[in-house]
Amino acid sequence: MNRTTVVIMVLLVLATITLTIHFTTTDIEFSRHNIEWTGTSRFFAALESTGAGEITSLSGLPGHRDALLLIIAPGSPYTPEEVDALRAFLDDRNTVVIADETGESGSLLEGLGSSITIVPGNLSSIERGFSDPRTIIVTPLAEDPLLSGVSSLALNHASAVSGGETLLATTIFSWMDANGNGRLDHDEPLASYGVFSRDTIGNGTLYVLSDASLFSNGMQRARLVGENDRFLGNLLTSRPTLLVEQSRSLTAGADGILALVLTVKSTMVIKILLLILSITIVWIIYSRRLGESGHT
Amino acid sequence: MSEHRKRIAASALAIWLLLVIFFMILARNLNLEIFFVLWLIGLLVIIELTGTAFARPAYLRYLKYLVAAGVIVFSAIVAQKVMEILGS
Amino acid sequence: MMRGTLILVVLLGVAFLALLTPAILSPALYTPASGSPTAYHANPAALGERSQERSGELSALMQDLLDSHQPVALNIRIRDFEEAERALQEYSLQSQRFDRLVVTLDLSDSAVGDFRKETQKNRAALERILNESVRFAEIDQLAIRYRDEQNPALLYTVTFEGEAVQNAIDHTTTELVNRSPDLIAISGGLGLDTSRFAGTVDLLNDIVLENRAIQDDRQAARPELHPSTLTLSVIPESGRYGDELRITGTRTSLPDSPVTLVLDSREWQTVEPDEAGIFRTTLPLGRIRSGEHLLYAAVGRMYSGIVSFTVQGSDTSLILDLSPGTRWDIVTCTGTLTTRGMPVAGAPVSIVSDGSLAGTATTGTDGIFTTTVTLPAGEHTLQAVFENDDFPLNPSRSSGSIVHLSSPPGLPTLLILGAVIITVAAAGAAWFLRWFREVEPVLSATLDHSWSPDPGSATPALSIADISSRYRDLVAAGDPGSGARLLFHALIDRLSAPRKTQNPYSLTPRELAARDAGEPYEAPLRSFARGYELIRYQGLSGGACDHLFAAWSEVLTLEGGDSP
Repeated sequence: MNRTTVVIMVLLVLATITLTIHFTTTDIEFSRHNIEWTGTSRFFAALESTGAGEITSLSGLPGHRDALLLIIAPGSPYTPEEVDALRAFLDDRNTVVIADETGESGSLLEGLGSSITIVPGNLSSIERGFSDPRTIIVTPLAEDPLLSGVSSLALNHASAVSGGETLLATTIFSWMDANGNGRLDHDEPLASYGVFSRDTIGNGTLYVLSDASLFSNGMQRARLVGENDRFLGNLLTSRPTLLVEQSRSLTAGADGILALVLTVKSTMVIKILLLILSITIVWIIYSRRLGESGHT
Repeated sequence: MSEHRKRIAASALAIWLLLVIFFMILARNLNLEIFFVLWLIGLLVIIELTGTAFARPAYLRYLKYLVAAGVIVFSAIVAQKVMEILGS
Repeated sequence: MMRGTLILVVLLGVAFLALLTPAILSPALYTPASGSPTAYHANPAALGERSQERSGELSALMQDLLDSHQPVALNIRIRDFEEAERALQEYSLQSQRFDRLVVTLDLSDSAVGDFRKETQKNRAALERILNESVRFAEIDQLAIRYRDEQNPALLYTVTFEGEAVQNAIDHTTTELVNRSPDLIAISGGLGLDTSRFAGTVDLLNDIVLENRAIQDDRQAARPELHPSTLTLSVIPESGRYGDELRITGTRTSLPDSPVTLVLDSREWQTVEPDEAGIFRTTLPLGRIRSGEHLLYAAVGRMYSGIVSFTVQGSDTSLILDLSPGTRWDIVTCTGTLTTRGMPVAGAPVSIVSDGSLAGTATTGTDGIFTTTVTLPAGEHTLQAVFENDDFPLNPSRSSGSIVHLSSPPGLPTLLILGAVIITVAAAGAAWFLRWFREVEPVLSATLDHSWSPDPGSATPALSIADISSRYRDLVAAGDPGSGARLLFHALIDRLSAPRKTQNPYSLTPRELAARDAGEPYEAPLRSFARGYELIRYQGLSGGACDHLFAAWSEVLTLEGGDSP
């Protein structure tokens, strides 16, 4: 093998690696296939290692007992059928944790009959983890198994939560930055805002967190003031069964070739066909080689 | 001999630039000015190492114009940085 | 084929550079901060890791400030004025610390800023109450002394002074008490415990009641004196800033002594009554607090009745104009402060930049103030603020003016500097090119001198005799090195002739000797090589040159052919 071939092989390998990375990742915000700071790939890797189940359709919910369903950053409102399915799920003594900063889950919360609502806005505070006033730090107001060992939490551009029993709130020196200038103006009153609430629906518990950026890679990689990893650990281990919603959540985002690749991976038939195809090709090449060496 | 040296010079420069790009991607900081300066340094080092003392082969004869142009652009970058520092 | 590839490469290079051109102006193609604040979050890697957790500190400071009212009021009540002074100092220190924190946290435009303003007013009010209470206690002492001395006249006058002082305390306390619901509301909204402060308000009210009781007793025990021969009146009984009140009085005894007018328990003016015993003066309402004021006249130990007049507050208007100062970071602020069309003289005006104090100025007699403020580069909003209790004027702010300060060295200087650097680099590049071009001809001259041996001829260009004489000339001229080289080249011509060596001039004498080892002329050739090195590299001359020539002749002789 002369030198040119080696160089070409190295370059081909590098190109293949680059292409693989390009086609198996995306840059959609919160997507589990996004390895950048806006994605949730690290959290989902941890999820998979704890053996969490994925719910791609809310009709697959019934039958679970003592499970925790994570709904991270829902991207579209829920239909009444899905709301009913969730209510039945909650009635079976299960727990649902919704992490939403845009307010898309409003229809879901209303349909479930909860008093909790999400108030979207630029929640800023003087208690902050970075130089951005919207990277607020919140402290617990009440006890909860999900908050065991958590003395403070660092959030990133969170919204506020009202209603229910407030478990985490900002200090009183916080405000909603109405004009987005990052400073406290005279028409923005100081108040303490809640960011994490709990409510009881039927026999189950509903938790609502008004910041989905906790789960992003950027927040996991950074050195934070709060005990975010403790909180996430609590989420992963609080119930024996852990489920992740992947139908309306932004974490399931995939586009273009990636969507194609995912469909292929998930559909058994296509996988088997591809396997047969690759085996056939290898067999053809091998037999031709054998034939040639046999001739000479 | 000259063919061999040519190939080594070109591949050395290419590998150097690939390394620079690799580290830039690792650091998540792609900066054209830094890339240009490192390219110029690499070019000058390679010319110095492959240039023979008494003979100047054809492929190195025209490189001096490229080096001169590179040095002028480099000085423009330096001038701009100095102005930035003085202006702050 | 090569041509085609070269053209392709050049074209690709040009296309690449053309694609790069837009990036020249912003060379940072991708940094962690690019694409950072998205709609959902900001990249922590791009933000400064400057965490700030001062809520607890702020809360504690505010609570301390609120609770600091009580020790002052308590000590005033129990008449321990030294302790009260100390408590007031403590209050001032905490107030300063709190001010700094509010400015650092940029909370001036909020409930916290309002809290700051209220507590600052309270501090000033407490200081006034303390001073007046000290005076009231002194009056108490004096009253006791005069009663013991059986001095009814002085007792009478002291009673009036007490009245004035007690009214001052009452006034200040009432203001503070009236303000307290606001402060309690703000503090409650910020989660502070206002019980101690509410207790302070009660304390202050108690102080006023006690003083009132003392004063009433004194008034009741006031001895009767013959009717006062000193009268005083103020017309009109109220006014605003800029008005003049006419004060008139009569004195029916002691016509030659001047009359002292005491305003708010402080000596104000001394007037001379005319032959009829009437004295007149005017009180221009300028730098005087709004509210009720007390005036009485005194001559020796005689005091007139107390007359009161009211100064009403008026609205002000403040205008601010900005202009560039002597340096790039200096802004000249000019403006006027007027009330009801009249200029306000001697009033302190603060210049506020982005919510924090940047400079102060005082208005002149025409109401115009001028000052300069130094600001860092960037965009700033400047505003003039007037807020002072010493004037019967309501506070006002000018409209905010935005000023943009940009970098100091003027653009021409920077351009010249940049041009100088580029010119130096271009000169360096040109020198670099020229140096290579100079080196080339010399080298190519050496290269072009390629020696191609003629198969037949064995005769060198110069004859042996010419070479010998040339050699002697060179040695005589003091250049044995060139002479040695001449001999050596002649040797090469002679010895290389039958051989088709490519470029024999690249051989050194040693190499030549090594090459021709085994030839009959080997020994003298070696000797020649040694001598050559001595002359060329060690710079020997004289005897060494003769040895060289001898060795050279021997080589030629032994080689056969012409000899010198």
